[in-house]
Amino acid sequence: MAEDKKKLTEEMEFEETYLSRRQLIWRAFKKHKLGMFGLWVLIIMYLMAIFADFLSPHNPYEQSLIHSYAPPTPIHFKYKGKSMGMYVLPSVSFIDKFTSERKFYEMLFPKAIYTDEGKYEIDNGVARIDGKSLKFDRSKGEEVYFEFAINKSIGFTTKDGKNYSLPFEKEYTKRLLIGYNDGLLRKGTVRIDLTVPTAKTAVLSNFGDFSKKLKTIVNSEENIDKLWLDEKLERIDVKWARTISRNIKVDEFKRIVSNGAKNWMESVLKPLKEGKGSVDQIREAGVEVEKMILADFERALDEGYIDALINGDEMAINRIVSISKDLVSIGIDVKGRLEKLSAKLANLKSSGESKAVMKDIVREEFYSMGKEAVDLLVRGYKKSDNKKAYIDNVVNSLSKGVENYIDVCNLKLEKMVKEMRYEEREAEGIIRACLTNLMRSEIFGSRYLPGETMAIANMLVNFKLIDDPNFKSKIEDYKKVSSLKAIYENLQSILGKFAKPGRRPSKDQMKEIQTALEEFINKAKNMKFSTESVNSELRSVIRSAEGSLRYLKRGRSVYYYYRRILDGLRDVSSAKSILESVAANIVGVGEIGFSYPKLGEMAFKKYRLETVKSIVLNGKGVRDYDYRIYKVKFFLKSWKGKFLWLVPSRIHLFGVENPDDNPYVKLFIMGADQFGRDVWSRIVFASRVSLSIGIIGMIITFGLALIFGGISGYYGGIIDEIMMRIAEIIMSIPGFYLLIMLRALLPMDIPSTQIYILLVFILSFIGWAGTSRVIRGMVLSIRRREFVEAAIAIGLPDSKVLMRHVLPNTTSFLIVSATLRIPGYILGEASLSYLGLGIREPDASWGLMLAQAQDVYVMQHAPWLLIPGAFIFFTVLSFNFVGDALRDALDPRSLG
Amino acid sequence: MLKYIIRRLIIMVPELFVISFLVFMIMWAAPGDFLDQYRMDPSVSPQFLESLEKELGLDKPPIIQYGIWLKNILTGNFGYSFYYRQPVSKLIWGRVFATVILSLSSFFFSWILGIITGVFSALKKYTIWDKILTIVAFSGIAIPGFFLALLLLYIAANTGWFPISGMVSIGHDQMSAFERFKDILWHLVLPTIALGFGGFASLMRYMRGSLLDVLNEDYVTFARAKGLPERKVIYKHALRNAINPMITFLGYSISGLLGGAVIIENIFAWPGMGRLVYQALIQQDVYLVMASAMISAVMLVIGNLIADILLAAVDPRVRLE
Repeated sequence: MAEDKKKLTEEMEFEETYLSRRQLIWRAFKKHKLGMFGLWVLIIMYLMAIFADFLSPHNPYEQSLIHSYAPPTPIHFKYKGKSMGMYVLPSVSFIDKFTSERKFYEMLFPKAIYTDEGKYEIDNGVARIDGKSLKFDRSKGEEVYFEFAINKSIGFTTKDGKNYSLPFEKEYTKRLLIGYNDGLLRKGTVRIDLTVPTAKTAVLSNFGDFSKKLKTIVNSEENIDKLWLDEKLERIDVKWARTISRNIKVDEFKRIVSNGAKNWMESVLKPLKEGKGSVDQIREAGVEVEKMILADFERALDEGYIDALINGDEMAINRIVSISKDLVSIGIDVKGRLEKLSAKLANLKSSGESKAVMKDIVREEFYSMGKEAVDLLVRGYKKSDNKKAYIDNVVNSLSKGVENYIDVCNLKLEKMVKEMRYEEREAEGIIRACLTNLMRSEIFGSRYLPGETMAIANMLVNFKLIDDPNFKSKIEDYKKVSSLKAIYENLQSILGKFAKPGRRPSKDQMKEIQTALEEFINKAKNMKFSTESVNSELRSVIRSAEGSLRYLKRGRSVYYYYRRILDGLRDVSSAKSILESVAANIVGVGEIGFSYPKLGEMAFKKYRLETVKSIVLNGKGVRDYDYRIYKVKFFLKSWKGKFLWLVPSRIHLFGVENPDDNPYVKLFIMGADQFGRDVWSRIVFASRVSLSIGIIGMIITFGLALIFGGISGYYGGIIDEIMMRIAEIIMSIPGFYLLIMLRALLPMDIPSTQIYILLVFILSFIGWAGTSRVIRGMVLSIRRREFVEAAIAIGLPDSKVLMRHVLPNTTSFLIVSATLRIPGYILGEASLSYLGLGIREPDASWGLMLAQAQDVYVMQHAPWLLIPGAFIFFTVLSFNFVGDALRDALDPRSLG
Repeated sequence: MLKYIIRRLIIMVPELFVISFLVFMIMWAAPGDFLDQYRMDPSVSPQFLESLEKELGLDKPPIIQYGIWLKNILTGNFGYSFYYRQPVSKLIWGRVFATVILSLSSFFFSWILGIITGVFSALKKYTIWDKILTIVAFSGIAIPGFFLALLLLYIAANTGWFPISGMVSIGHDQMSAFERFKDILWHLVLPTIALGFGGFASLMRYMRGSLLDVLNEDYVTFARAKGLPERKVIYKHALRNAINPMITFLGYSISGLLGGAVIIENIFAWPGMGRLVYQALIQQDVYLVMASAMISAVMLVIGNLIADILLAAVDPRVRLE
């Protein structure tokens, strides 16, 4: 029994040691950890290439210019503290004209607004207010909008006098700003207009004391036209809320402020001047001085002197003293007090007191100085012998103080205006960017934003915003082409019906085609565009359309000419390219949006007037709002791709659910490129080029090398000599030059598929010479072996000896060197595409994608464009690992 | 030996002749010629074009053009560049300095570092150092040169440690000699790394493999057995033999010295031959292309010859006939 068992295990061991050669190689290969790693990476890469459509959340060719250079989309998990799974927010990325930086914003589209009166909901074109729905007719161009006042903080006062405020951080405000402007121009977004009333409160709270002060100043002076100023202020309030501060004439306003302040001061000082000075009057004046001192404080705060003071800066002390010259003139020892204060602050600082506390201390000091000033004035008045001279003195110093005060006011005003201007300009820039994008998406046939482009373009001309004659002609061009659009779309649909092999048009269909063609020719012949290249393009299309028509009219043997007619039709349907080239010209129109400052605003107003239907929420407190969020999901239906090159399928591994077709919603896991195309999707599609070119190129090279080297080594003699000289010559031409030269030999403007084939052949042409020499050497040595001689001796023909006996003995070498050579092709293709000689846009290859990152500026701002390089790296690395492992595995010594 | 060299040199002549003919014909067969860019421009008159054609010799059949070029070459005249309107020799000479300085620096970078690290990693076989160096080497072989260059550029642009383009700073002319030297060196760092890293990695792997092979040889075991100190065994017996196969590579890398590196030079805006020739190829500036192709071919052939000679010089087992 035990013996049997022993025998059995021995047998098993025996069996184990006698594995087939293939199994042995696999075993040796498996030992090689890096090789296995490489193999896995390659398997994943090739799977990626095969299932490219399935893995891409976006169409790799679809441009989305609003997302140009958008960074990887942030994925959020929590919304208002609640876990919501994975979701993204709509986003936009654009170059900020004013800072010339590329900015990326997540936009917040409101879904609902909660006010004191109830909930305002907006969903799929219906706005509901507390259950009551607001009807609006979109066919008449009516829209409902949410509009937010743009501010750092918005205060809302409710009917019962409660105050609500939404604290907006800077960034937050900007986001809102985008949502606001964008929604305005995008059809299908529903908004409720909150602007005017809420904005006013907001502005009032923001202008704050300053605004009130201005009003009191103005009101106390009869000389100034009260009504006029009220109106002015009103206007400022509203305009500011809309971030349109252009109409504020700052200088004029300053004048009003200073006049008002001076007059008011005069009115305070008048009784004093007239010698009717009393203690009360002096006190009253003193209170004003107190206010001015506080203004000094504010100014010192604004200019950063208080910080300097806290740090014990003497310059700051002197500066504040000079700011407070009115105090000095009254007789307060500002300098001494400040020095003491500074010393005190220094002590506090060393004891680690907070800055806020120190600021409070400074403020207190200023207050006490103010109080002291009042006291001083009154005491001085009582004590003084010459009351008249004293009052003169006070009047003098107060006048100086007023000037100082006016300074502070103006400074504040300027600062505010600056801020407004910035926000306004930003808003304008955004409007213009939106306009541009609107035009672009219209032009490039995206499914959003239908007729507005033309409306806006016409408007620009009507408003005489653009006096560029080219602009008009471009719009005319566009109109003309648009009239062609319907025809070619019709033709395309006809084509689509029977462009499949084996299906021929029926007689009725022939008629249909004929009328369509005739219509096209008639229309197109009368057209003349402002751009010559478009004209010539159109002419050639007309020619081929006429050709088709001729064949059609020959009638009898319709079927015979079928193919030619079809060709003609195809050409006509390529009228689309004309549309595109005209459109490309009009994109220039969109760009004008950037260069004409008024355009955005005007378009904005005009558009708004026509479409807005407002619900005014007067005096209602807005408490909160909800945003639309878009969920990230797996196995999601989105763009139409082709599963395994064949089966049309809309299902993709992952993507973002976008039920309302919001063009701002994208999921770029690796960012977007210049044209807003998804980098990840492009990488996936590019892998098809990069991964296949290596293998196909390798097969061609080795095929050539085998034939060449085999023949040369087998026959030897003069044939060998000649063939090897040829190989040597090809080897002596420097590789990369030969590559570029051969590429230059072939036309540049050919489709990517043809370029791909050309690249394969060029790359293999360069590679074969070296390999064929090695094979020749191997064949030479194998040729002398006995089994070959035996094969020759039994009279096998040369070809058979070579194919059956000689070449198979080189397989080990071939497999290893082939694997190690593949990276060369991948790198070759990448370099050529990088130089712009390989695969062309809009098709993708890893090298071409890297070429986008050439510019240092772009690279710095969009480093994700470098990712394709990592894919090249890992692919090449893996091939090297696998090649190394194969070499070890196939080495007879390691087979043991 | 001398006979062998002379024979090789004699074979070289017809080879170069065929290469030049091939290159010329490829250039000629490419669609269009240098004047195409003028033909597209409606503001250039046909008379002017014709005169230009005559001046540049483009109106003659290609075989005659080639003949003229060949005749000129034999008298030391490399022809005129169409685009630059300058003698080709002058143009190339102007670029040689930049190219050679870059090639040499990357050559030394890859060789010195490659051999040192190769020996180091062979002696520390299977330690953590060896593994790290292996990873570095594999990365170096796998990373495309232009991608590495872009990465270096990205780092330089973000940190400001190195200049991102060109060979000299703006104020180069005002600098003292030493400062100029430092300036060029500073600009040289990134292109050198980008260009030499691949070579460094493969040399390191070769050196490691070759030394490991030699260390397994019987004579090394014998040297150890007879009680030689390990240092002597390695540096006197093993290393000398291990370096032999590397000598061949040395010859091959000579051939690349004047070729320039098109992509790296493009990325770093290095004023070398690579960019000149690339542009010439795209513009079909025939004589410029011809001259540079011939220089590269000559360097390649001579490099191979030098490699063979060097190998024979170091390795007494190899005999040239």
